[in-house]
Amino acid sequence: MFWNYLKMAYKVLLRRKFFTFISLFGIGFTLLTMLVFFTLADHVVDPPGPSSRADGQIILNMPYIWLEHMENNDVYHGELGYYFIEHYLYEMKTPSGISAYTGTRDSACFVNDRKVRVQLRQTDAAYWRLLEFDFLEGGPLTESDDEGDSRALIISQYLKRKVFGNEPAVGKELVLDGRAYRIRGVVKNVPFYDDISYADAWQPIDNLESANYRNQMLGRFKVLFMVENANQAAAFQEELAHLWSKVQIPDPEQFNFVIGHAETPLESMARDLLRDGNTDDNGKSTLVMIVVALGVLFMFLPAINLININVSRIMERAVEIGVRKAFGASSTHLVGQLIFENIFLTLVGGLLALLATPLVLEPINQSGLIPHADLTMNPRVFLGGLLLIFLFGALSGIYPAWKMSRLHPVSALKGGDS
Amino acid sequence: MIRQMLVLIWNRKRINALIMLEITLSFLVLFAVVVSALYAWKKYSTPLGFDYRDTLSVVLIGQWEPHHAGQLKRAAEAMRTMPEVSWCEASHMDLFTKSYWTTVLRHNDKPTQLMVNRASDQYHQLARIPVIDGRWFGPQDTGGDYEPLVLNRRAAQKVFGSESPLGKVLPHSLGKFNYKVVGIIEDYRQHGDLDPLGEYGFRRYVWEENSDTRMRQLMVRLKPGTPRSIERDMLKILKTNLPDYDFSISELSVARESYMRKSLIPLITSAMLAVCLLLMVAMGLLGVLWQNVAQRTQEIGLRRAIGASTTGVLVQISGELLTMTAFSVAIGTFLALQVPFTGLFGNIEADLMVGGITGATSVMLVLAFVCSVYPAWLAMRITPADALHYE
Repeated sequence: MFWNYLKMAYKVLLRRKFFTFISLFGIGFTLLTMLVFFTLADHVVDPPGPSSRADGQIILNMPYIWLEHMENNDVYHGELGYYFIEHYLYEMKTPSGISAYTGTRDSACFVNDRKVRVQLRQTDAAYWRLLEFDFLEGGPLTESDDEGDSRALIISQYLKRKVFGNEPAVGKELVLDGRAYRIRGVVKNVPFYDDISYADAWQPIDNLESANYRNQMLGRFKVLFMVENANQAAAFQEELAHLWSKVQIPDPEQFNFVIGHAETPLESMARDLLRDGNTDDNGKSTLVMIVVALGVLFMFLPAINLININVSRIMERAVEIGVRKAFGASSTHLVGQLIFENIFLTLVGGLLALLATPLVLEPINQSGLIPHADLTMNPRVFLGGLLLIFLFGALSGIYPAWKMSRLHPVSALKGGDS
Repeated sequence: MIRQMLVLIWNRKRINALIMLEITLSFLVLFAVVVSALYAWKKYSTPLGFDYRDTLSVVLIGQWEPHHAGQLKRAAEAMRTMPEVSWCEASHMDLFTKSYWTTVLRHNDKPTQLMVNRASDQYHQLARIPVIDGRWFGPQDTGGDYEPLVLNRRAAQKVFGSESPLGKVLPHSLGKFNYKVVGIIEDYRQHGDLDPLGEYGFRRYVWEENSDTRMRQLMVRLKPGTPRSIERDMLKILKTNLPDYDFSISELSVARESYMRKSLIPLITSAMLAVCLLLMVAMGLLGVLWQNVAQRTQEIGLRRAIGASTTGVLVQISGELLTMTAFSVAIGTFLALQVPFTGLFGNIEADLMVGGITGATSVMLVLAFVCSVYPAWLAMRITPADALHYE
């Protein structure tokens, strides 16, 4: 019977090629846009690469802290100082790893008198244990780089190509902002949306001539925590919550309370976009709700298009439906058939979209709009896409099918409106 | 004629309701897009209030001790003697980063939150911040029983309303001292071109020998065209005068560039999504209308047979869609007007609302018209004979 339905659906599609094209284009285009958007969102929320751990461990990020004066409402928001990290965060018992690192800053080197922009990040040795970089050459920074004036440098494949071409780079010298470094390792490019790993070059934090940075409460550091599983994450958050009241602030006249949040990239983003400050709720669920609502709206529009077209097409098939009804086909049967046809059509459009998605992602990756973007469709997005396709097919098929099932055989045979 | 059109629309109410639903939803999406785009543009086109070019920021890395104030003063004086340096002043807060410092000012018991910064007496000259009323703080404020405060225009308006802000005294929230407003500047948008417009204030940093007031950074304005190699000489001067510190020197223009890059990526992505959505809506309207015309061959043929002109048919087809668009836009506008009341998306300013509604309305009307042109042209070509042969 399905074979029959399939044949019928195929014939109907061929009957008025223009409308079939419009339907297919609408479906394909919608799903394509959704898939590309999903891939992007998926990569931003959980970038495959250094910061995604395969073994179920969780990386939490504390990019900022808030210093407050509880009585006069002064608030200072900024990155963490090493003093605070060393004396309070390193003392924590629950996390299985803690790392201090900085955001990226614009630096430059010269290759044959041409300036090459370099995004430079400073990290400690723990950073390379917590995050899983792919080394193409050499190795990571080690504990000995944390002590003293180490001039080691890790560079990305991109920077290596620019500066050294195809030659091996490890052990060679690179001058950044007038200061010479020795290259310790080369890693695979990290995309821009991987906020905690992205850079072109990584240097030890102790690159400064003295240890003055170790005395600051506020500074330019961010902190990563690694926990083994969700239970440990809860224990960690508990310990963190109790930490703040113990912190001694050097200048209690100005600020007398400090707080920060260790969060996943999605939570950090939600706080950044939706929350103005250090509220307990990071706004993650609100952000997810807004994105889902926009997604549904986005799908709903083309679905209405499809409904419009389907409704008119049913009228064209009034005679056929009338005959089938007259010969005893039940309404349920006819509804099933129409939804089937619609899902078939959606499936064709959806498959086209799935095939076209890599063709759209590739130019985005190549364009350089997002530095070092490496957007690929993963199984999660693919399955999500399939689900979307069926949802879309059912959504846009139900109303026309219901309308058709109410068609009276006699008026249908006359080919008129019901 | 309009009444007749309404009757025709009513006769096909089910399918037309769907079309109107689609147009209304598209209108709402478009409204959101136009408002965000206008808002981004408004922020971008509002002057930063300072000049970031040829300026270096020198961040001090180390722990502040009171006697460092004197060292800092001498470091700044030594820097000013360099021929390439036109200004060297102190300003506490970083530019083009996410850090901020906020405080609350109370006037007649009404609290206003604003961002604050602390800067030295000539900083407005260095950063080229125009003082629009009153004056920047200076030596004449030393020894007074108040701390001078310079507000931006927005902060002055929010705190004092229509009253003149100059000379007004505001108590510090812990009652330790009083602020006195000495000047108004246009703006100082510390976070960058694409960040919200907010209230801002400058407190005075006094060059002293001993001070508990920690200063984080020196700003240096260079003569245009100075090469970056000057940083080496600067570091020498800094190191001699401030032996307990390390320094991180960066160009403001570079910091701004990376800030812009980071902020533009999400904006461009959402704009591309919106364009895709519009394209889909256009395709859908075109398809539905086309089908409409095909279905109504008989009706249109009949009209032609009893003497309707081709223009009349064209007006009918386009007019129907435009009438429906007008209704949908009206519903959409009504819904859009509810947005400020929900407060879900913060306060949308009146000019943005107006811009969003007019923008979305005109795009929808143009879109509807364009989508109806081809089907209407098809309808025009229907002759009475076609209609009679139909089926």
